[in-house]
Formats: sequence, structure tokens, C-alpha cells
Amino acid sequence: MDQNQFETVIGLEVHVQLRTESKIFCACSTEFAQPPNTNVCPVCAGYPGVLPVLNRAVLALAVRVASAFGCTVQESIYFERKNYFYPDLPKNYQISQYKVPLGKNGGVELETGRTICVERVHLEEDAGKLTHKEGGSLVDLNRAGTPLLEIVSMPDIRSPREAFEYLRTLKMILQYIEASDCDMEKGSLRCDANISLRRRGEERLGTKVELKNMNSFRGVRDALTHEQERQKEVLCAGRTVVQETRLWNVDRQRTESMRTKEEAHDYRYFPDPDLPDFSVPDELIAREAARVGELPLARKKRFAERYSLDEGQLEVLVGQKALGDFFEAALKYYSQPREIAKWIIGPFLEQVNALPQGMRGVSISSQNFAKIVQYFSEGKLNNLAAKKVLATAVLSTQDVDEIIREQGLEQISGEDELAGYVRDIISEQQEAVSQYLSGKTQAVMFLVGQVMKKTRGNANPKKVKALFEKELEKKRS
Amino acid sequence: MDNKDQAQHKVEQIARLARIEITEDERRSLGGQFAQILEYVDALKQVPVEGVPPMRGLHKNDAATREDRVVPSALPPEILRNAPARKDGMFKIPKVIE
Repeated sequence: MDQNQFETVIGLEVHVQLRTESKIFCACSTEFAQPPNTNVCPVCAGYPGVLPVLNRAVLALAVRVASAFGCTVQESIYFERKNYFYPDLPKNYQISQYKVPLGKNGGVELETGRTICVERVHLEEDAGKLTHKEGGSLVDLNRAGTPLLEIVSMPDIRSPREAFEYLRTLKMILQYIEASDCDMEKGSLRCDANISLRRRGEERLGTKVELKNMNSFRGVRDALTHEQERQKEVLCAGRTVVQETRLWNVDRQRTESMRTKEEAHDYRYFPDPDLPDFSVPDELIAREAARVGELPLARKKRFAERYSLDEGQLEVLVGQKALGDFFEAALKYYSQPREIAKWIIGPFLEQVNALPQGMRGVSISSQNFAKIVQYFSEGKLNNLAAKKVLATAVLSTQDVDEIIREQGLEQISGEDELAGYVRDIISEQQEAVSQYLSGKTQAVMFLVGQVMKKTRGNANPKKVKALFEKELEKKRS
Repeated sequence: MDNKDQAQHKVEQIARLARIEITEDERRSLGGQFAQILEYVDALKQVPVEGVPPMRGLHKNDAATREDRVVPSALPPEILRNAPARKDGMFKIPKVIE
């Protein structure tokens, strides 16, 4: 049987942690990596007699995400209880949304031009964390009650590669609109996948398998690729795919059946009587829609048209919103896009990436940055000096001119001053001079080096070289 | 299956979902009570509700919300102390792996 007769159908369920200070239904902190069970209170620990109270910021961020995807937002939302018994869930139910999600029927446009439909986005609370040890399991409830938004795509994705692209785009959008930091290592983005195969041209979906336990975008892509091949083999052998949940085993690079009783999944959803309806006023929707701003794909197109940058530069500048913002702000002071881009992507990012906080740890103003680039381009600072100034300036609000003066880094370009150094070196380095005169013209670089040394790197090397050549040629005649 | 059998079956199912162990006697007596409740609900089902929007509570769209501000609870140590077993600041429970 021909393996190419099959079409792959993928849908993704992504959970993102919304960027808030406190939990969704209580005032405990959502801070990551705290000592176990320190961010807990009677509400998130599931004590009887307590009442959940919705965090306004959670609702606002969820509405913002829904707007960014172009979803229809409900005028009024309510929560339901998803009942199941597991020790990471202290109440024995998770507060979630089921019948009526906050937003539905949106989409995410990929760079390829394809749009993946977002079927629904809904709010829910996260569970706690379990650690399994010899002789028992340990429960940490710090995460219990962390606000999550579940983003469910339609089965529109046609390849593991497209799934990867969708995730990458989704993450960038969520970071642009500051709804989530999407850090998979901190658990603020998780992804489960549904995958099935069908014969090309067939409308009806094949039997799907749910994949879990992928902890990187690459993991999602690899798990889907593996599962796609496995299902192809099953179907080609004339067997049928079993509907089940499979776990990605990253060490063995394969999916493995979870083998649990499906019967256990009877969630008995019903509206949570502790939480009444919440209206989503038009003003809130309008305000959050306005905060969405320019999305990454639109920005990339605009940058490409306006600044004639190459693909690699665009990728970097659009990849982080703060970087693109900084780029455009710097252009206001020195309108040489290619020069500014080169300095941001090179020396500037090198400094930024060394900061634990990244762009948020940067103090330099776009004006000061533009000045450094301009001084370099105009020959006022040589490459080394410009990088030195930048290293200081990145963490400071001090004016660049002041830093240059304090560090004595201004490039010496004055002919008279440089000619003095050149004459000194000629008299000190007789051997190199005679080498030059005997035809070894590369000896001039050694002489230039001596001037650079004397001026602590501040001399304009091009000018120094020209001066040496002029002086030495005079000697020859 | 009559109502009573159905009710007893439901009792078993729910007990399993809630991880509650029940004896044969309890199953029978709870089954009887369940059957009554189900009959009552069946009676409610006769009420015509066509076009009536579902009512989830008495309060509508005026639910209080809170500002996104952290107020640390003073209770974490107490909450942990309430647990029958603890280890390294965590609740210790029988080993579960799903």
C-alpha cells in the first residue's frame, strides 16, 4: 500500500499561564520556584466553607488573547466544575469552562499564509504538582489555582512541521500582547496533541490518538512525526488505529500507550454554584482589543517593506517585541536601519543575553544607543571602542558622550596628533622601517599596531596606516 | 433494568469515581434513596421549559471580582500541619502513578 495515500490531521490543545501576580480565585502569589506549599491558602488548598473570587486581571488577559485571535467573546461567562479524583487536585474538582467557552471561532495566521482555526479559548485553574518518590508521592500545591487559558485548535494542522510553526506563532503572539511568558521550562505553556490519518480526499476523520508528555516544541514535532509513521504502518498492514492516549518517551524517541481505564474519565461537569455569572462588558473588550496592537506577522511584513533588512535580521528583530520596539525607537535618532540592525543583533544582543533579565534588565535609552552606532559609522569611535562604550552604556542612563570622555575612548583622528605618534614610532622601530623599505610592505601593520598600543586603541587605524605609508615613501625617495 | 437496579448501578459508579468504599447494605439502602431522587428529577423533567434560559444562580452578572494583588496567607504552615503525613514541606500520600 502506498504510504503517501494518507493525509495527516492534527489538532493541538495548548495551556498557557496568564501573566498575573496572583492566582485566579485567591490572592496567593503565582511566583515560580518558591519553597513547596508556601503560596497556599484555604481557597487553593480546597478547604470547606471558602469562596473563590475571580481575579479581574485574568478575565482581561483572556479577553485580550481572544481578541488577538479574532474570537467571538461571550457577553457573559460562567465556570463549571470538572470532577475527578486525583491528589494534585485538592477540591476533587477543577474550576473550568465547558459548555460555553469565553471565546470561540478565531484563528492564527501562519507565515506560510495558512490560517489555523482556533475553536475555543477557555479559562481554568491549574492543579498542584506531584513528585513520586520511593514509598510515596509528595504534593506541592503552589501551582494549584494558577490561571490558565486553554487554546484549542480545530483539526486544521496537516503536518508535524506545521504544528511546530503554529506553536511558534502562538507563543510569539502571546508574548507580544503580554498575556503569558510562554516559558515551557516553568510550565507556563503546555501542549497536548490529537493526531489521526485518513485517505486523501476522504472527508471523515480517522481514529485519533491523543499525545501527552511533550515538554518542548521540538518534542511536540518529534512525537507527532513518530506517531504519524506508526499510524501509517498500522493502516498499511490493514489493522486499525486504537483510540487511546499515548505518552511521548523522549529518551526512547517513541510514543507509548498509557493503558488506563478510559471509564475513569467521567467528569460530571456542572456549573460551579460558588461562582455566579460574570459579564464581559463591551468596554473591557474594546480596551483589551486596543492593547493587542501590531502582531508579529504584520510587523515582520512592515519591517521587510520599510527597512530592507534580510530574513535573518527580520527573524531576530521580530522575534522579541521589545527588540523591534527598541530598533524603531533608535531609528528616530539615527535613521540607518541596516547599521542599527547590525549593532542590535550583534554587540547589543550579546550584552542583553548575558543579563539574567534580558531586555528588561537594559537601561540604555534608544537615543544613547543610536549615538554609539552613529559615532562608529562616522569614525568617531573605532569598533573596539564602540563596543566598550556600549558595554557600559547598556546598564546605565548616563549620556554616551560622558562615558566616552570618562573612559578616554574618543578616536584620535586629527592628522597633526596622529602624525606625531607616527614620527615617534618610526624613530623607535628602525628594524621594521628598514624591512618596509626593503620591500616587506606588510611591516607597516606592525607599525600601525605600535601606534594603537600607544594610544590605547583610540587611534583611527586607517588614518594611521595612510600616514605611515606617506612618511615611509618619503624616506624611500 | 428498572429504576431501582439503575439507581444501585449509579451508586456503585459514583462511589468508584469518588473513591468511596461502600458495603453491600449501604449500596442497597443508598440505591433506594437514589431511586427516589431520580423519580423526583423525572417529575421535574415534565415541566415545559422550552425557551426559558437556564438559571445557574440567583445573582446575575453582578459577581464581585478582585484586583490582581498578592496577599500572602499566614496559614501555609497550619495547612501543612493538618496533613496526616508530610515530607520536605510537602504533603505525603500513598504512591500514585497514573
